Amino acid sequence: MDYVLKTEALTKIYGHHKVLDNFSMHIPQGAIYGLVGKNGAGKTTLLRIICGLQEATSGDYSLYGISSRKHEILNARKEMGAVIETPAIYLDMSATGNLKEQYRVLGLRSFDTIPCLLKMVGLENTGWKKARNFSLGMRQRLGIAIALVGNPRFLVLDEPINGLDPQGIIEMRQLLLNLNQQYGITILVSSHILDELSRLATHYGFIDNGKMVKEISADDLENSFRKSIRIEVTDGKALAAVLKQTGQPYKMPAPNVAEIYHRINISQLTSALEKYHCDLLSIQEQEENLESYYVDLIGGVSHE
Amino acid sequence: MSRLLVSTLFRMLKKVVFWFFMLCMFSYGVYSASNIASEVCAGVVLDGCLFEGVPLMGLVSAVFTSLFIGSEYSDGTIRNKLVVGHSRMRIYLANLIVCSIASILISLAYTAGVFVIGNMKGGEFITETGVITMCMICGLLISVTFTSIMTLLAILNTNKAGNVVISMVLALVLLVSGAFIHQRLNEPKIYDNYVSVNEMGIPTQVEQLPNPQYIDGTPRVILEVLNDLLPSGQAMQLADAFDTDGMTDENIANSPYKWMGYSLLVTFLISILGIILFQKKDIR
Repeated sequence: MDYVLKTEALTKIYGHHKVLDNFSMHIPQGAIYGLVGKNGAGKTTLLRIICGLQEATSGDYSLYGISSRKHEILNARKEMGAVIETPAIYLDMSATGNLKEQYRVLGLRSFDTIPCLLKMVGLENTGWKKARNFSLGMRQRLGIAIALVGNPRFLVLDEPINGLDPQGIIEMRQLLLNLNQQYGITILVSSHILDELSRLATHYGFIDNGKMVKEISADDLENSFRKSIRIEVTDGKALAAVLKQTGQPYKMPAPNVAEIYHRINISQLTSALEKYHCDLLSIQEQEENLESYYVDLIGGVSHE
Repeated sequence: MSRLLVSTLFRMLKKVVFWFFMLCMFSYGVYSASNIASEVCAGVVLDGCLFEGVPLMGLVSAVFTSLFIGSEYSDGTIRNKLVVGHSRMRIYLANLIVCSIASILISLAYTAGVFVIGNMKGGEFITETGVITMCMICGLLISVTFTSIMTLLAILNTNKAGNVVISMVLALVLLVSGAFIHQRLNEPKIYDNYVSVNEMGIPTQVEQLPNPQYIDGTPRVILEVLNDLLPSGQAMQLADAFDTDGMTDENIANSPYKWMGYSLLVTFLISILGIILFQKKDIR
């Protein structure tokens, strides 16, 4: 498999604090890689290192197979764009002015594609308005437009939907999917909004305390989700007694509610409950999701 | 490198603070030359006012450079350059070169102000054109040296507002220390002590005494080197080098080469230090 980015035993230490600890990650070409972790897990530090803003204390990473220790890494970077934390934009310039600046930084002589880029991120009607007067969402879009200058093959986005309104979130999702599917851009995206991430990502990396806890593809993750049946009754003790008799694995998240992880015969269960004068109130089929998987994996109560 | 230079140059030309300083220094040049012109009826000698703006360049450079480079950090745009593969050395040099160009243009705005009034009032230089030209080049190099110091501070300090204050304080300290050193070195070795005067107040008996303020020996050598080495020292010497009678000291004609050497040396060493420290800097 071709990897756009590989990190090997990447470590970053600030003073006595190890922010990244032997961190290894593999981003396949064409993937939307969701980086998931709580605050302070080391996500942004990792993105800063990948983008050349900071140096790792030890370890190595490679972009398109070029090691970060080689000088050629600077050439490899020409094919990437990034928005790390806050969008990097000149506040005293308009959206067009900001894009022209980035075109010059990249040595692009023609500004013909600027209207197209502005339209792509929904900023085509901002005119001469200074970025200082943009909303947080507009700045975020402009940051992404700047990252897209020069047609990068690899896009690094740190919390790209922060500050966006619901319509903006939908548009951003469509934009990222479009960039990935139509233009083949590999995207590394860190986000706390797991529900949104689950609609985008093709691969996940779970980071905790600077370590990669698990890397998994979205397909494998989907297959690993456990399905369960949630049953609500009038007498939880009766339900527990019945389930014990059947030998079913179950969990009781509330006094009169049980989650059963095997297929069950509803008719038999209802008959058994009747013997205890217990009524069946509701029954729902449910599946684990990214959030529950994350909570199980990282074991966090204090997660965002 | 050329790509960075072009983009940084375009940004400089759009900065209001750049045009503000251009206007201020031009106005100051007009004011200085007008002052000289108002004191005489004919034959305005411009030598004395041509270099009065040089000491100010420390402060101008402190404010401009810290605001210009500081916005790269406050707006976060330095990241856009690093992400797409520009090396830190190139980013540093592009900022240094563009800020130096801005300082040179602002210095020339002062000179232009002096020339405009000089032209209108029929002003002239009585010092040799060659010496004036060399001193003008020195003045520009002093601005570049100030800029190299302020670039080092601005690129290592991510706090824009804090860096404006630090740079201005440093510029003032350099200016005050330069003025102090210049003044102490200009103390006469011997001074006249008037023992008695007649009823008209004219001294009749004068004795010459050694000046206790005069600095001699190794301390004098150190102060002389500092005076030539520091851009503020050079600026004070240059501002004091000419008056309406031309050169105040004939040795001035030989000083520009020494000052140029020192300016280039300081600029080079400060820039090397800046690049080394910037290479190791974590950028957020």
